[in-house]
Amino acid sequence: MGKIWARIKKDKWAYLFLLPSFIFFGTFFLFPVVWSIFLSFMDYQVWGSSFVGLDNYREILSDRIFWISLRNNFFYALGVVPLWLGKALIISALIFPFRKSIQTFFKAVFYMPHVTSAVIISMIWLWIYNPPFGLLNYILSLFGRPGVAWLGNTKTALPAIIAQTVVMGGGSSIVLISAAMNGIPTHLYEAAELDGASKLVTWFRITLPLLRPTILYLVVMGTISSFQVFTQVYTMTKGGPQFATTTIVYLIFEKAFQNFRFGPASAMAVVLFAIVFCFAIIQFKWLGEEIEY
Amino acid sequence: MKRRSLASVLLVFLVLAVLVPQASAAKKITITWWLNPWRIEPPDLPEGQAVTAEDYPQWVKREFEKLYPNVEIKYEVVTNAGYQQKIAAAILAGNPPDVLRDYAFKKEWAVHGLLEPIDDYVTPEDIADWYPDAYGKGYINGKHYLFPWSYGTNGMGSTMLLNPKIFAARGVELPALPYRSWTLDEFLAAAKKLSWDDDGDGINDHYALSLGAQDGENNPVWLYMRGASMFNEDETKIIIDSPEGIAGLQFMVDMIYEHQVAPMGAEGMGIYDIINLFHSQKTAIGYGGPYEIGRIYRYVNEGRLEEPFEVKIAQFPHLPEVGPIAYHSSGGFMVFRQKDAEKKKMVMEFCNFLTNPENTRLLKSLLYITARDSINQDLYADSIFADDVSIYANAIQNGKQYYGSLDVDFSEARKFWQAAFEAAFTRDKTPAEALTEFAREANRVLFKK
Amino acid sequence: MVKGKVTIGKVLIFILLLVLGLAAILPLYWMVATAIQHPTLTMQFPPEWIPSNPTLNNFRSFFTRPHVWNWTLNSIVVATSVTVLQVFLAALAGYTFAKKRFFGDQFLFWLYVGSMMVPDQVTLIPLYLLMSKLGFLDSYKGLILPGLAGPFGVFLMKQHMSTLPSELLDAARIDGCGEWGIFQRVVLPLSKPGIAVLAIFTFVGQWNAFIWPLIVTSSSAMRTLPVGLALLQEEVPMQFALLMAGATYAAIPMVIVFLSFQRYFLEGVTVGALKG
Repeated sequence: MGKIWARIKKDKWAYLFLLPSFIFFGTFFLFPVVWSIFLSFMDYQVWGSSFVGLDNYREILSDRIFWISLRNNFFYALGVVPLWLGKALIISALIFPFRKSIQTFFKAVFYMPHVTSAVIISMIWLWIYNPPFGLLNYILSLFGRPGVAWLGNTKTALPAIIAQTVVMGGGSSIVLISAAMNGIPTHLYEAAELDGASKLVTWFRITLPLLRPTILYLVVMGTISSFQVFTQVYTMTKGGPQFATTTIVYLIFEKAFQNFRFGPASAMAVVLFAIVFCFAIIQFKWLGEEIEY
Repeated sequence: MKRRSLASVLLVFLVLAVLVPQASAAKKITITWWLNPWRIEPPDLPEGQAVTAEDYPQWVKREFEKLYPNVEIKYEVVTNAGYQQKIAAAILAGNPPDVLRDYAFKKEWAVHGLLEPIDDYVTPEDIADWYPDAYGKGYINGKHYLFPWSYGTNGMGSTMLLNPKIFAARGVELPALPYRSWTLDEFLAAAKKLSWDDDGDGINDHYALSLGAQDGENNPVWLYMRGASMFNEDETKIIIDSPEGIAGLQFMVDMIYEHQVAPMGAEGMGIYDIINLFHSQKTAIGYGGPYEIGRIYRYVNEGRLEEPFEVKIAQFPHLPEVGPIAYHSSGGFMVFRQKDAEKKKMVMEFCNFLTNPENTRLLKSLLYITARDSINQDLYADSIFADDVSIYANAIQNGKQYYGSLDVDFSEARKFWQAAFEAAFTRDKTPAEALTEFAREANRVLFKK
Repeated sequence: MVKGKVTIGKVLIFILLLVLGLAAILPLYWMVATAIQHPTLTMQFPPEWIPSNPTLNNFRSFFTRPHVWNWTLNSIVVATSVTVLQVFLAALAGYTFAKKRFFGDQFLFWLYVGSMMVPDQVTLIPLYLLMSKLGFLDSYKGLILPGLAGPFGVFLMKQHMSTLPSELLDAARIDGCGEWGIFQRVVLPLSKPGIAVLAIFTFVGQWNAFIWPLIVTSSSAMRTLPVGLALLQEEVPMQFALLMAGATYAAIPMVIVFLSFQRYFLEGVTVGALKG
């Protein structure tokens, strides 16, 4: 004991420097994480809470909407992640041959929507998707196609939100992939050129395999962020029509802050945590040391 | 030297500033009061000045503080959108206001002792004057918790608004006074004449009325109209999936597709779309009571509507075997748990001030009906809307609470209710399927069945 | 692959990129175009790509809505205070993890990094209840404090400060500099680029934050700009000219920040490997 105390005393500056950050981290992050697990086993009420065991979990697992929200989230991730990645890979490949300044210019253009709040982006798209007066139906009408109630239809609402996310997103993926591409040694390309390989073949044979760690990282991070989608749903559809766009975070929000049922909402949050945790494990397992950026 | 004297002066000043208000605060009573926006015109509002939601509470504050100089009223106008969230947060944090407009009243608050019973603070005269259901709204476990104030709502789900100009232009007579009541057949015949195609493309451009899946206030009418009910007698089960309910929803779907008297796209519409269509005179029939007539004038004042247009109130259509149907509710003020006896007396006094006959009359400027029978007798006698008000007042007298009494908290089932209408309006599901599924989900979340 | 040579292929690709880039920022253009359009003209077919008779009236009516200035002030106060405090806390902790060995350092750093995998939404409910217990709901404290707790800043600062040469710190120590002096006079000045990246990302992130401000505030006067806008949209649905004016107003500061500090943004993405 004395030995440890002596070490702590010796390192007092380190602890002192760490303390301010740790107070906030502990109080407003670590403690809430632990508390949320407790809450998921409680019936929390202002006038007194009680332990209810697995009741909250039983309730959410028998809730059809909870399963729909999971399905929507998987569908959303399956739509957004590959499209984001495809967009980022194509654009990175297209800007690669250019001068640094031109590359930076295009990176900035594609990154621009990222600094705009998701609320604003969603409001703009609500306007674009507006059935009678929106831009999209107008463009369709130029081709003689009838208008569609994009967000009012169970078949198109979620794809519309996915499309919106894909068009506006992917900017940081472009930056990351470009950085990784610039890190590929040029002699590999020179060798390929000497062999007479076409640009496309070079890209598939050399670039893509070497981008594997970056791509894997983007897939995992993209999937995790897909499971946290909320703002678009809140602003554009409130989870409708007929729950077609209800996501898990939206459902947590609704249960907790509109119906004030903190117990079941916490149980959902714990399930979300578990899902994200699985993806994180995949990332650590497959990528190991390679995520050092 | 100079600096030190300055510092000591400052110090004395500071000490005084801290001590003096506290000394007088010992006698001072501060009452916090929350209400949602009510654009009531106070008696002393200068002629021609537009009314804001601040005018009424400000007037109340002034007048009450004049009566009781040791009292300070701190009011807050809370927007409708965040009202429930705000009060829930305040209760959680243990600092609800002293007096609350009961916009989001939950029975549990009284059951768990968060509210003060008011039985000892109301007079027999008041009780005799208030409508029994208005005073009874706050009756929980043998005690009363609500000072009644307004009776009915904006009239959504209770009465319809008719545009006489369109009726005349299409050669349709308004339903006859005194109640402007009509049967469902009469209504449908009129609705067909009120919907027409301008440009000959086979699709109507003008409609009798519009429906919206998100319009939770008017949708239940069409089902209740046929004798359906949301709950069974003792409110332990959802039974809206009855044949009557299904027939009602089928009629709504038919109004869109079969009779084409309401525009398509109802699955994506809410109450404001419906109001807009009526205001832009694309539909001949809108919804609401006298308050909604007031909305037209308010929008004109705010520049959101070009010019006012004439509107008449009528009952919803009815089946002769069921009789007229309307939505009914009432509102008032309640008091949260008080620790200090002296303050409690003053808080109750404040509620009595808000709801005394004279001040209740102020609701007239919103074309609202009051919770006091004696006032309603003559309040609108001199008004050009007298007929309309009396039709509305008559309709809500025997109104129903579509979503049940305080004993059930319908809020968790609301999204399923909306989804049922979305599914029916898109014809993804038949009315029977939509309502059966709603009943199943609602019974699960409300009654754990 | 020689860079700099102009070929027809490259010109075509450049044009293709321009078209794609335009498509990506077209929605932002449409926001501005609608914001300066006459409200009645937004509800007409066909829409005008370039408003023929632009007006600032929508901005005027946006600013006459209640509490718009409060929202602006709240956004500025919250984003600024979180940024300043977060940078200070993270720099101090990041430096400690980067340059000091002490009992429990591995464990504590692992705790921070591991926490980055926890989705923020998990802490929403307990944080809300905690804030209600502390009486911080609907206040600046409630808006700001959780912004200081995230582990990301510490991680970013640690990564950055690990690259500082330890010899310099040792030299300062030999010169008789105290621990605080080293941090203040040597570490902080050398870490300016890293601090800039963290500050910019924190500021933009806080300015655009949505779900927490939505939950923790309940009075109209305490809302931040994005929350105020989202609720305005519920209050006056379909008034797109007005809403786009508000959206433009809220977006412009961030676009300016982005254009002025572009380099740091692009750098920050690679350094921190940020989400999305």
